[in-house]
Amino acid sequence: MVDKMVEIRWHGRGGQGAATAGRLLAEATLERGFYAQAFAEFGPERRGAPVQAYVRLSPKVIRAYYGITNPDIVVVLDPTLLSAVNVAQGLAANGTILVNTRLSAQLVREKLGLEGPEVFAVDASGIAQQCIGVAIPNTAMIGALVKVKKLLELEDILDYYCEAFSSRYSQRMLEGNLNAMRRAHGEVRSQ
Amino acid sequence: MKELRVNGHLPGATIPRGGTARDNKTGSWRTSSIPVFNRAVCEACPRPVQTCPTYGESCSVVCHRDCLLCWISCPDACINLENGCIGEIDLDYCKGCGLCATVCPRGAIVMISEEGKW
Amino acid sequence: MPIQTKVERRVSAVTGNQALSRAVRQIDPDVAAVYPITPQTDVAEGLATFVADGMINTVLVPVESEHSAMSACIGAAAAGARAFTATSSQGLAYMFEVLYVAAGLRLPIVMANVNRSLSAPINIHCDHSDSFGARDSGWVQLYSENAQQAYDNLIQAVRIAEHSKVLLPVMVNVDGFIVSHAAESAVLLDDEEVRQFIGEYTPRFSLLDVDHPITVGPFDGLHGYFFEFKAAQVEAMANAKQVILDVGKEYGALSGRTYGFFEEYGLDDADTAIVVVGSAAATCSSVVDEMRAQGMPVGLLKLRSFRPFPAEELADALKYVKAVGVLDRAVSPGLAGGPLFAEVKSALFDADARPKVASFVYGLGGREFRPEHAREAFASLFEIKKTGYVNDLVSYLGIRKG
Repeated sequence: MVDKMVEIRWHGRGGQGAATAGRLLAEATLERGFYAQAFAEFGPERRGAPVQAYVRLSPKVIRAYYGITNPDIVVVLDPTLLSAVNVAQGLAANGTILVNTRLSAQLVREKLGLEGPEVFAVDASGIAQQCIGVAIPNTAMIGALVKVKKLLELEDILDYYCEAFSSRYSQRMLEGNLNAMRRAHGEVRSQ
Repeated sequence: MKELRVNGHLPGATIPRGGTARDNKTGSWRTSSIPVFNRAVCEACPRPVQTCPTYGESCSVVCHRDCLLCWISCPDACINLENGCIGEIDLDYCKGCGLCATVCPRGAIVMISEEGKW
Repeated sequence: MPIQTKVERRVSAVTGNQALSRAVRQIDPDVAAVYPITPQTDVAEGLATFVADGMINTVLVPVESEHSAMSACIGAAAAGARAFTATSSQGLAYMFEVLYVAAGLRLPIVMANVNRSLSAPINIHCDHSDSFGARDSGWVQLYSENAQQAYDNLIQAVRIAEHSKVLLPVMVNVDGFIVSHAAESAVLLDDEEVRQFIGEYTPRFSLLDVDHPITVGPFDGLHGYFFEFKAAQVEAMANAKQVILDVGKEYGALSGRTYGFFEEYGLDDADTAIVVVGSAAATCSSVVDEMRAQGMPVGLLKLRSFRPFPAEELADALKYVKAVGVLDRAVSPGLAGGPLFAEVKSALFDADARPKVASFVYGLGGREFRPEHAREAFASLFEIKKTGYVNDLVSYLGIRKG
């Protein structure tokens, strides 16, 4: 449920699908009758480079064309970014951070020195490897995200994913990604 | 809203007909001499010369075949053909360069001072 | 230009570039010659996909440069075709000489320009140096605040360009990356609606009509009519003003989104105002809302039509304002203030109540324009209003100090 503007910042590495995940979430939200905006910080694109993507979801028209510096939610697609980039920069004290890691949420909280924000962890890469066959964690992270913040129902995302990608992906890829979303939705933890 | 028409032209200086270069009589630029064509000399080729289309073949003294070198050489395309033979030279466009006279293997074109025409 | 969508229309998620390429698909131009360049590239890709999938009848001319792209469009338009191209930055600069040919020959070509800075230093991000640099080329220039306006402007551009009293090429400008690569909601028209809105194109002549040969682009020397033809071009640009209004109104009846030269935002009782083009207008409008909620009478003029420049209308809209800040996403080294600033100031010179005008340069090379920058500009304007004196004629918003 998007009852006020929600700003989400995605941290990933080139090739992990941060921009795609942001776009998917925005489109699925838009489908449910809200306003949404998704964009990425573009630079010299290369695989493995730290990248940021931004999503704004709102019940009203969005009139902001600039990067998100005070996110409500931070999603980290790659655990190695925790020591490379200040992923929690500007995160609201009552905000949420979701990290793809095999570590516990408690360890992430300690590593980042966070007090206020809620911290969640999920092994999205492991789930993706098992479900899709490649460790591209973006779809799994969306599944986990809609569990920890009820922006949308899991079914909304799954339905939209099918609609958007069924013509582009093989049945195996499609099923794999849907399963990854379902599993991460179930496995995300705050401890 | 008004539309500014320039001298009856369409917008953008487009001229609603083709071949307008014809209107520009470049012969007026001619400064010295004009070519004068002598049909009898053109047709009475004295002997086979390399530029003759039938060179090396049996050659009648009077072959009646124009070599058309002057026609193809004229930079202003002002040598007109009549039934495949050299006809009038169009002085409306001839700038008097003399190239036709220079290339003619038979000396059938000579440049003469235009003053003589006045 | 209030954005009000008819409820029954379906909202699509599109990037600015997708909005442009979908508009081109619906316009279905006869010829498109596009050379890809960041950040315009996915307009070219989208178009190529539509052609490859047989969704449009457009002949796509593969060209080796932007100079050739515009030249091919000129040839196609002279042959009576609806011609389209898209570019950015260096591409527009490379087209420069042929831009004047397209306008001088009065060919109604439509081009999308995805604004990007010009090198050096090399930079792929948004500013308006490219299109502002081409302001005197004789092209109508429209600017878009978001993907929706990019789409709407491109469809209207066809009608404006082809109007018999205009016959000028039209450039639709969209902020590179900020809008071109941001996915957001936009309401697109049905294919049939677009087809009917733009109508059939009946060219005045065609180079390919061998039964009625014409001469296009004849030499017009010292004793010719060059001067008169240029005056006629100026006249056509003046005519474009009424056509922009008429087409904007007709488009409003169709889509629910009416367009004019600019959109006034809170200007009725404002004593300070900002003039701006492009996506920064959206950010400014949210700041205006915020400041008005705090009781500050601030306003905004979002300029859409840079060429023709609506000088009288703009002066009229700003007549009650005491201090005007003009935001420029471009610089003109050596000019006192940004290029848009100079034009706005000139437009206000003959106004009865001549407001004070200050220049604010922002966002060069894609430097982010954030609400605090708009607030900073308003703070300067409050000072100018209070003292009646412009202390800093030119300020940079968001520049790093030291």
